[in-house]
Amino acid sequence: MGVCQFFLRGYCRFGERCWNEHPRGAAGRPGPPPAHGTSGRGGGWGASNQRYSNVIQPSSFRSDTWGGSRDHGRGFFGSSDFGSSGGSSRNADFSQNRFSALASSQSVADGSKDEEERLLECVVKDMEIWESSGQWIFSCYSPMKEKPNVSGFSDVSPEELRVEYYDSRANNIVGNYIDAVQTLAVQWKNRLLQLKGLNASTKASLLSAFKATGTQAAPAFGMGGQQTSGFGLSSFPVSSSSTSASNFSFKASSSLISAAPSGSSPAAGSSSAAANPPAFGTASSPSTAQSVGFGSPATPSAASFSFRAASTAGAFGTSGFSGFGSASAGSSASSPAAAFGAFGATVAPSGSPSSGALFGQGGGAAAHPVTSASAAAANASPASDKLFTPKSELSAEEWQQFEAKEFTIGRIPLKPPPVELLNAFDLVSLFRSNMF
Amino acid sequence: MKTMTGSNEFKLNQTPDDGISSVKFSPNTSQFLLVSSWDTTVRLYDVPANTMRLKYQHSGAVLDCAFYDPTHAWSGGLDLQLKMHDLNTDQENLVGAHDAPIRCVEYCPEVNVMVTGSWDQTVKLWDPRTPCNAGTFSQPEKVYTLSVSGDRLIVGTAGRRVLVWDLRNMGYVQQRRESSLKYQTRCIRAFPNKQGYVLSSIEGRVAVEYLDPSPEIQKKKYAFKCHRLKENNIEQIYPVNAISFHNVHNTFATGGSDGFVNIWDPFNKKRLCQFHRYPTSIASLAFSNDGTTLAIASSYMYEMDDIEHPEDGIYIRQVTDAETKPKST
Repeated sequence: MGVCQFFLRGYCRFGERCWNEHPRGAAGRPGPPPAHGTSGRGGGWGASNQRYSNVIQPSSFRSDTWGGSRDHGRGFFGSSDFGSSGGSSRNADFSQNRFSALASSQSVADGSKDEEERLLECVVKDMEIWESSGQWIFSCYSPMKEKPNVSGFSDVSPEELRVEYYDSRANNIVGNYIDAVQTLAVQWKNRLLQLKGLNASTKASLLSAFKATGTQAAPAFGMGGQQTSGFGLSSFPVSSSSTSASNFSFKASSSLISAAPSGSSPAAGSSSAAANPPAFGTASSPSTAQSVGFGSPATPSAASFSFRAASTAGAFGTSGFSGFGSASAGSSASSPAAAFGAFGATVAPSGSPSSGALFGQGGGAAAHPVTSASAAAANASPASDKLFTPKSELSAEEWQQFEAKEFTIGRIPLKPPPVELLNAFDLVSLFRSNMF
Repeated sequence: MKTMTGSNEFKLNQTPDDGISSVKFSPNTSQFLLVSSWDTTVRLYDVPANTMRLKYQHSGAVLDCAFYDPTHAWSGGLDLQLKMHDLNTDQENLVGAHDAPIRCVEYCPEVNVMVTGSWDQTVKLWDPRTPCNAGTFSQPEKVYTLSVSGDRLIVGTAGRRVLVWDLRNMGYVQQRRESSLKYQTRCIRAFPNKQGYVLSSIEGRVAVEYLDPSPEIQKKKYAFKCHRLKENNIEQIYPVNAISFHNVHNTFATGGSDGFVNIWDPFNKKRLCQFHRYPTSIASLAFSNDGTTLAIASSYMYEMDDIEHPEDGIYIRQVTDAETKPKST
């Protein structure tokens, strides 16, 4: 859990309910900020609104109906997409799209500095929207045309995810699948936060990556030019299409089931030039990895963040995970909540057996920062490498935590949850709700 | 017995038992519809009579299907196998395979070749007469979508790459492009007039692009947002999963995970129409060849407790010129 940026600016709309930290002594203006709803703006999103509307606490955003707004009424569908003109202002000139605006700026001699800034702003804005909009999270990303994809994000299409899920279900290892997805979601989130926050080093690596146009830019984590492919998750060998065993591979960008050229092992497969390096979002900031993994206060938000708040969509899954989110948000049953918390708690322990392979698999230069993170993760997690803890091994307090609707900060168990409290069926069907 | 879901719309009977991956009309009639599903079957429906005429199996979920001609269906999916099925004799033919699930199956009438795209990062061509493999062509990434435009093939892969191939000369890639959109490509469909293609992403956005690489033509391209809903003042963004063109008017329909189907006029840059919201995500769309009928696949999703459970459905809708024809000024 991080420090609440809005609070620091004196502006946090959640006040005491906020899940981020509000350090005392840093408060600015008290009281709720003025409503910055975008009600008057049709389909558009002015830049300023985006900054404050993306903090979503699941419990407060129940969606009941979707009756709502027809976005874009009849008429021009050019609304809100053209550069800085947010809102449904009707741009007469439809040939202008955001890319052409860029093209013209590039021709300006000293425009390069501005362009860089614009690029970075664009990245930050995009990350904010991505975080709050329930958009599919397993997607590559590029802030502007002709810029290479930003490292740390890999494409997994909804069908691929569904295949993984079906396979794991067929082999009765849905738990593995859930963990794998959760880990990936965590990696995504970390990378997103990193890009949103844009500290100096992230900025520098991003800019150098963008400059290297034409070649696939070196990954931003100093992982050498290795074009490693696949999410580290695929430390399990291959073959998800056959109903193989207890291992399933979660291939992401390009390592494939016995993909033709590369042969069977995922590590070897990584040599096929992937467009995007894997989402080793945690690699560059070991501290992030830790806070996510260790059942520290970070965990509840880590667990819930990636799932779109409230489920809007009851009926409509978008990002594949709104189902999960709503489980924790709305459901009164304890099991989904416990299972949910389990995601957070299990990131570390279940991560550890594979983490050696996981991180080690990243290409050669991969990694120093990476291995230290994984080592840290592995060392710190006291729990065994079991997926679930037998009830007998849990203290009364830990059991209570698992049973509770939410974890209490400071008392989050470091061991994985007991299988008794984990209702895989609920999770499975919730997941399915987003597949089509 | 038809379940009417609108004055000009009804739901097909005997729909598959699991999600629908693709729907395609027969090339010369709006009477027959081919449907592939995650329940591992491929089904042929007689649309006006609302009955299922034929069904055949794969050993894994089927991700796409296509007609070679009115009597032959081709399909592929997770079992890696490309099958051709004679719809008259009910005979099956295992034509070939990929090394990873087959994601797309299309037919190119101008060159008379079947095309498949797979997560094994290749596109394969197949001669439908023999039938046999006519070449394997590497793509830079997993193939997510592809579309035939005249004698050209447009391939959309992971990593936002787009490649244009000349089906008569597959020795090299004719154009290497990149998606104009920032996020993962979901679907690409070519304009019937062969001028360009439409590309949709997971980010509620659609781009209209042109094939002619000259700068004057390239300037005309544009993108727009769609399939987004505002909830609690926060815009929720849904992937645009399906696109289908009206062959006559060159207008196109898009379907998203928000459950809506929109029809767009790309020349005047307007939305022509939006249908009622379907029970769940739109997985696939298909206009019939004559443009009179639109098949809408709305696929099953498990709901949370407090919301009802919609079923899979394939909705057949008669569309009018008012809904599909560009408005003349």
